Amino acid sequence: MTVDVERLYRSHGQIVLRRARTLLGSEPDAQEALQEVFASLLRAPDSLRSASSVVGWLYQATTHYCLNQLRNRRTGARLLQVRPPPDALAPSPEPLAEVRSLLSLLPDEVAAAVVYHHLDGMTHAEVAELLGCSRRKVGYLLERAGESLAQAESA
Amino acid sequence: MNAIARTWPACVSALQLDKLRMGESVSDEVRAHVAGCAKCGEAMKGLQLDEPLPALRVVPLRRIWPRLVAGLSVAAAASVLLVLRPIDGVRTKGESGPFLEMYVQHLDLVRRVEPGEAVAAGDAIRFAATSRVPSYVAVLSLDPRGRASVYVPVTEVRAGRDVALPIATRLDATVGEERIVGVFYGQQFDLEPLRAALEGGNFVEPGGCRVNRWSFVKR
Ligand SMILES: [Zn+2]
Repeated sequence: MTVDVERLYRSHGQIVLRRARTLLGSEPDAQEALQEVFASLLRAPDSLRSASSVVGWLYQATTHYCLNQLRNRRTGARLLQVRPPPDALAPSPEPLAEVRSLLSLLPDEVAAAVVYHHLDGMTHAEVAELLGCSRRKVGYLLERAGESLAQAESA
Repeated sequence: MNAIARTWPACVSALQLDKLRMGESVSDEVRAHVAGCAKCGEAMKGLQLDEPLPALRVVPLRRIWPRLVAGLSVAAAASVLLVLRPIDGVRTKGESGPFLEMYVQHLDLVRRVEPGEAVAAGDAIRFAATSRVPSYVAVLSLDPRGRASVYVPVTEVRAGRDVALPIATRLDATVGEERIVGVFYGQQFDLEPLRAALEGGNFVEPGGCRVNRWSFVKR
């Protein structure tokens, strides 16, 4: 089976763009995510061929790309000695801005579990399927996220 | 209070609703629930983006450059970046042509080059013409030393979208600014006077021609 990436882009690209807007909160960054996710598909079409659901694959690829971007922003801000946006202090202009900032602090798998469960409303079973782990591990990842966030807030 | 609360407003996850929208299989239970639940129905409607997507920047190699692939060796890691910047005559959204688009091959990927995008020395470039009527197209380049050369000689192109011009060129690492001029004309034309005019700094758009221009700037 060959993957017609352009056709897939036209039919499913909106899923990537919509989620990237939510996760990144910036239109240029979301547009970049849209291009990058489909470019990665052209580089490695096998990754989709072995997936059981196209939509599921796009959720994973978008989440992975966006979480990396959020972390890069934090690193970039640090390298440039720009103060990152205050986490839980000032009233945030957009509720998700705070969430993004917190996600950038979490390890990849933990952050992904948080995105799937809290933002996408997935059950532990659905999260487990996307992460390729057990339901029990999902429970553990979400617990860990809660602890990390509580720490970040009390710091 | 935990800053990350469950923000998803429906009973069924966004993933399930997207699968349902896209015609993928979901459980009967999910299907039945969504059909009878106003909250989930509303959430599913909210997932739909009713806006056109921009063109995919990276296009499959085989579609645009079928023969080029075999003929080109993989470019060495490039140390110089080129920035493509529109001067004028570059197409605007919704314009139906004629216009020229530039594609660049970097390693084994070909992508459409957008204004302002970085292009690496050593990459190969190729042009594709879009025109509603058959026309003659040529591409000239003015290098940083002020020398004008022919990238693509006058070539007849059929009407259509993204009709690839036959010649590919590798970007060298010359420092400075390189200008690219694409010329469309309804009939066969003599390119040499245009090349000489470009080199002499007195290039004017010939009557009846449609001209697209870009420039590369080294970063
Ligand atoms: Zn419901």
